[in-house]
Amino acid sequence: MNTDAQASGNPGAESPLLARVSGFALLALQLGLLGWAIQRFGIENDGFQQLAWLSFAGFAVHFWLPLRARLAFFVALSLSGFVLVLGPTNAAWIVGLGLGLIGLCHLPVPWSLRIGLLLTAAAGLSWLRIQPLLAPWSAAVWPIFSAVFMFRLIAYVYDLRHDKKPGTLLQGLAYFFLLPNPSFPLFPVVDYATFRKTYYAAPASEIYQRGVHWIVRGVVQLLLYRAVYYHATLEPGEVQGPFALLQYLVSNFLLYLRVSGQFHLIVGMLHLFGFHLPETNNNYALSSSFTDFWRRINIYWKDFMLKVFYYPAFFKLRKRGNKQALVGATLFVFAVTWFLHSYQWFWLRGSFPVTWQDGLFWGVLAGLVVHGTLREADPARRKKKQQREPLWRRVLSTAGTFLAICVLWSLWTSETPAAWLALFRAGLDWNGTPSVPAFSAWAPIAAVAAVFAGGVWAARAASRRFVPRFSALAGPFAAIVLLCALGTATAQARLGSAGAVLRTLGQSHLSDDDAARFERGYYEELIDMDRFNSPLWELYMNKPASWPVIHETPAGRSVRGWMKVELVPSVSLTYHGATLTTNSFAMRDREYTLAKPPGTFRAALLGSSHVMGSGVDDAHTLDALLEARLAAERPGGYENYEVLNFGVEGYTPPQQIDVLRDRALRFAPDVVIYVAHSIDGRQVRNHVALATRMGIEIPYAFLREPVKRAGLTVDDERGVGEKRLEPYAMEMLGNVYAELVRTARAGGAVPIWLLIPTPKEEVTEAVLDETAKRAARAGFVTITETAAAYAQLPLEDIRVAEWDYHPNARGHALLADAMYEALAARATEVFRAPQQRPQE
Amino acid sequence: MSRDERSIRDTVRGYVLRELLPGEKPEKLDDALSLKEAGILDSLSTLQFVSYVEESFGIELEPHEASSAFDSVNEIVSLVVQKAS
Repeated sequence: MNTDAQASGNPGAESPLLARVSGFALLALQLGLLGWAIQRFGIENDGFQQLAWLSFAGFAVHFWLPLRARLAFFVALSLSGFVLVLGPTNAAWIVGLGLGLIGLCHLPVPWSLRIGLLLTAAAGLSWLRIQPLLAPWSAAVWPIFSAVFMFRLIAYVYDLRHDKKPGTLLQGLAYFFLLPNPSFPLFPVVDYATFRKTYYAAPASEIYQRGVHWIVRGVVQLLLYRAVYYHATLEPGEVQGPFALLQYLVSNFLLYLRVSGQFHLIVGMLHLFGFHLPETNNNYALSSSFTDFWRRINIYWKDFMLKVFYYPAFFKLRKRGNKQALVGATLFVFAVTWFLHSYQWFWLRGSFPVTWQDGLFWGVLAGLVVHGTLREADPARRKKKQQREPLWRRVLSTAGTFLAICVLWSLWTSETPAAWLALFRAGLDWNGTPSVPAFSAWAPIAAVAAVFAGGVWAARAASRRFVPRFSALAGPFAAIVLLCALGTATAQARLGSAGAVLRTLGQSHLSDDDAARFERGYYEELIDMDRFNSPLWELYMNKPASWPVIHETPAGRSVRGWMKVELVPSVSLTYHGATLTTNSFAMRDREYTLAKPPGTFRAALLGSSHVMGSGVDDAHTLDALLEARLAAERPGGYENYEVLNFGVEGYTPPQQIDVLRDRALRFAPDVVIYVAHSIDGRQVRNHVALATRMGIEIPYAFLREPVKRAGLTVDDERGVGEKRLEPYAMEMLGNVYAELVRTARAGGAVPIWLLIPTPKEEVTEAVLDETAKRAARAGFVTITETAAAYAQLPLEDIRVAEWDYHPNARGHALLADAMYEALAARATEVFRAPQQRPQE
Repeated sequence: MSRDERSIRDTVRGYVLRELLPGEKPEKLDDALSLKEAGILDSLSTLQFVSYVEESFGIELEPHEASSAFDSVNEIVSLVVQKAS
């Protein structure tokens, strides 16, 4: 580490005590307020919030330590952070395995042997990665262990090999076990040489203040990310017309704010302990060319690639001429980047994807960067570039680059080439545009454009200064105060609709679209998660390997055709941590007789995994609790009450018609309770599109007809059929509801439509209106008040697990109570004597 | 500072001011400034700078030196002094 810098970095060496105390007080005040804002807005997850407080408290001690003790203190604090977030056992595994790898790097044997041993260790670990049950450690160890070592070990070995003054053991430990790492599997590739060189490479007060500044930036970017993710993203199927296409493209790219926000948090936290590391991202949305973009986005990655791959490749090739070497080295770097993204995925997730999206994305970007590099290498162009270009030209080139990057990004994140083309066909279809935005809607667009132009101007002005800018106190401090103010309930209440949006930013959950994908469960194997920045991916990453879908267990099985899956009779096993038993009729329920006993009120419950009771014990399912409550309260004065559970994980609304007709009505229920979700329309669309694609015969004319009208074929790629069917989704749902009503009445049962929430977020008024009105028009007795069943509790208290959004036992109890109250309130319609029921 | 080192420093500073910061006053260039972090030196200009240094001082640089030692005037001067000795 830099000894000159160390001297200047020790505030005690330069500042009088009073200045140190006041400097500390200002920093502590900012960090205290920041900690409150992080907690208030629920930034990232509980683990990160604990880690933030630990690092802020650690800073308060670290600040006063003599310089020689600080690095050791940082290592101890970081290790305690690993224990705090991951638990002592997991932390011990990560540290133990890591020490083994670091030890191999330092063996007193020739380099070739050391590299050979490291590769052997990596091969052994990768074998365990694909056979997780064989590893003696928990699956939770993999993502963080991988995040620590998968790239940093390469940078470490490279520097060890080339550096004339290798670092100390303490520096090595500090480098690998970085304090923020346990909360962030996706971590910037910190360079070992830079890590050592920049340690207190500026006056300490400047480093600390810059750290605060970057943490603030990180928090702001993560809140902006949430605003985009919750309120601006669209599903490809929702894109109709150019305005929606623009919204889709821009919001899709801006999801990267999550990564840049996290990276700012991480590097900002490291600054608090003297690591004067460079920026991780630099106004990437304001890039004026593709080469500029490559240099601004994920700068640590770019530097890692330059150091380990680009420069060595260039030096090898330059004998053939600079131009050939530039092109060859650039193409090589992009090929390696493509490979390393899959390599990263492998270590974090356990599979090695080779996808056309990655190939096309990196291939196109490589071509564009090569083109840009060759242009920049032209001396005449380079001279011209150094002259101040007009603002209008810079704004245009920046806007053009931004748009092109958004398009390329959409290609990267699309499910199939055909889906991407379909997206653009729908987006460029002016005739299909529902309406041009009203005049009032142009105001925000104009505001965004003005901010964009202002940003270009500011970035252009800043680029002329070559003296680095150190953070002033005023900006970050004002931002912290504003964040805290906006985080208060009073401010949110006074801000009206803006306050309502702010409230949503304080919750970490899946967007409606991702929640819908997550809910599918049965379709899980079909899900392609967006790259590394989506909360959906994060949830899947945390999910244990032993968390199967029902047809992967002895309690369920796949079947050919329309139904796709069914439960197996008379099985009892542990499923998602709870006892799940099926009866002899293949229902997740106790035994019943086919014939209804005299004096019995019998309800048939239709639904999917929520009704089946995924993740709760037999005694705590919705149907069991409702049955017990009915027996206790005896509404309608029956002798006996039975609630039969026909729920099957993954069943969609049209499949419920088959369940009702072929199974439920055999038990002569008095009422049929169809348990609806807010995503019913989308589920109908998806199931019909899937059936068409798989060549499965659709048994209902009212579903076949829209397929014909929408022009779906068996050759459609995934995503295309869904998009084409989107305009017909609610129409199909209405027909499914009507068929359910007809079938129930024909069987002598009262059809009840009952909306339940998912432990995710509140159901919106719009969804209630649209879906419930369809149900009412179809002839259901509609119950919507049950949608608020979870309103009294935080959502995390009522879901099975962080990665499983099904209701837990507490959620089922709330649902059963809400259902009972709703049914009792409609006693005259629901609990009628047999002779009073309509005869069809 | 030896005469050789002063001459190397002048050459290196001259290149930075001429090629990377045209129009900038020489006294504003801090020899300890990280040229990469300040956005002055990118991958392409680093390679051009490397070629210039190699030709000017008759030395041959290694790939890792382009990434680790080409960050400030001070570092480049040290590298050249060390390579040339």
